[in-house]
Amino acid sequence: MTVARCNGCGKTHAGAPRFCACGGEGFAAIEASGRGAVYSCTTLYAAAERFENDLPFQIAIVELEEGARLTARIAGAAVSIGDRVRLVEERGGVAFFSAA
Amino acid sequence: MRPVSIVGIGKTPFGVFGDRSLLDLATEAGRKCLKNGGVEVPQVEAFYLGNFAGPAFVGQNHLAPYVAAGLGFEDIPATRIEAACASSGSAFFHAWSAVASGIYDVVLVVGVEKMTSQPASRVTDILASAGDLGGEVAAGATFPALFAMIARRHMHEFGTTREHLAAVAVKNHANGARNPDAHMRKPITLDQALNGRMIADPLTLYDCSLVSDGAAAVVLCPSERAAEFSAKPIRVLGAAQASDRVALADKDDITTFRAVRRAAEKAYRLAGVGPKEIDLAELHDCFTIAEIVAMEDLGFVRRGEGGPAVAAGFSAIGGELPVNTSGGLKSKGHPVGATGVGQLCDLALQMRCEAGERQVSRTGVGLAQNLGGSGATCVVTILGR
Repeated sequence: MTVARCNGCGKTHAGAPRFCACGGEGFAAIEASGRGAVYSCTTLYAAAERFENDLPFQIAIVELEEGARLTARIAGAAVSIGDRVRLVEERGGVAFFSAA
Repeated sequence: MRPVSIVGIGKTPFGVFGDRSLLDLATEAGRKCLKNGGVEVPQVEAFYLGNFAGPAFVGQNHLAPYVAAGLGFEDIPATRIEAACASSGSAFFHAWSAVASGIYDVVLVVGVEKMTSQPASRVTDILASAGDLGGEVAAGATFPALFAMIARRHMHEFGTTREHLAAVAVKNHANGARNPDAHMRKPITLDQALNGRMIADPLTLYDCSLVSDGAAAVVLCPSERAAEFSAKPIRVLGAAQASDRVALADKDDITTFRAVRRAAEKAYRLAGVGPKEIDLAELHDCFTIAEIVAMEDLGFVRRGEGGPAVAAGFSAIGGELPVNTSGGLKSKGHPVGATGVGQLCDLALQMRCEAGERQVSRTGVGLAQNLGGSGATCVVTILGR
């Protein structure tokens, strides 16, 4: 997993940012540890059509050790805010994390 | 910039209307509004339509001239504005800007959504398209899930409880029961709200607003001409719109909406009032937590105190600052594209002392807050007499 670090201010972003709030437009791809903590989370009991077979499932906003946040699926046991998590796989552009 | 007034309002009831089309609803609201304001069709110089997802819900696109023609307008500019759940708040904001700046005198704004012709999971899908498709939506997030994460974080940081959330639902259902045009006119108990079917933990069915059909309209003109049309014009003291990032994970702090704070600061400044001067408000309670966060972002209460304030009756009819006397999105219904203008109609009804059973006593200054997505758009409008 890589994150984009702003050449201007050093803030890291998940995904492919076009610009940084500092005004910077240049980014360096850095290898992320794949470890982070749960910033917030929820377990869904209703979902859009294409995810109905997965119900119930948990999603979380994960704050990576490098600082960037992303929305991810939680695999395995349910997690709570503050729990340490680690990346277990990336499937279809979606990151799956589990309790570390 | 010149002062602008609302001289007419019109609404359809909000609810499930299997036999009624988007055009039917939009034109009913528009015609009622023009009649209410004593405005003739040829007097209208521009038309703005707020609509979120007509093309996805009913298939029809190019909706502004489509509805304009249904209302009998010829030649005038007809413009559709899409800003998720803030579509008609934004349409109103742009109409107000145009009248305030002197481009037009008489402008009609209609908000409409026809949602119930689609099955629930398809509705969820269409609504989710107002989120970030590549990130949160790809991970399976729905709007209830995004607001559930906001609620979880708010609980974590401020000690907000499920009882606080449920208190919003109980209050708004009690208010909606007194509104003849509400989708769900049914009081609920705290126990019911707490034990509803779980949708996205901690939000139950009772924490979520309704999927509704409906339309609402207002007609605007410069305040100096208001007496030509209406005996009870309502002045627009200030209006402002602000934007933020679409994805929830891209916001630094999800227990507050930056776009709400920015729009509120501007609207308060234009109106020359502060939160203490607001007598009543219609807030965007798409989920119970959203009303709590909005009360904090608008400065009605301090951060973290929204939940306890609602539970203590601060925002009930008869409370210090009544919020969502119409029943809010929770009970009145949430036909997405109609919601922003619907809020203004409901404030105007109170301010004209025409709100019937739910009438409150102090109605000098009213505030409407219309939120799009998980806070990427916000429109705040302040009305006075």
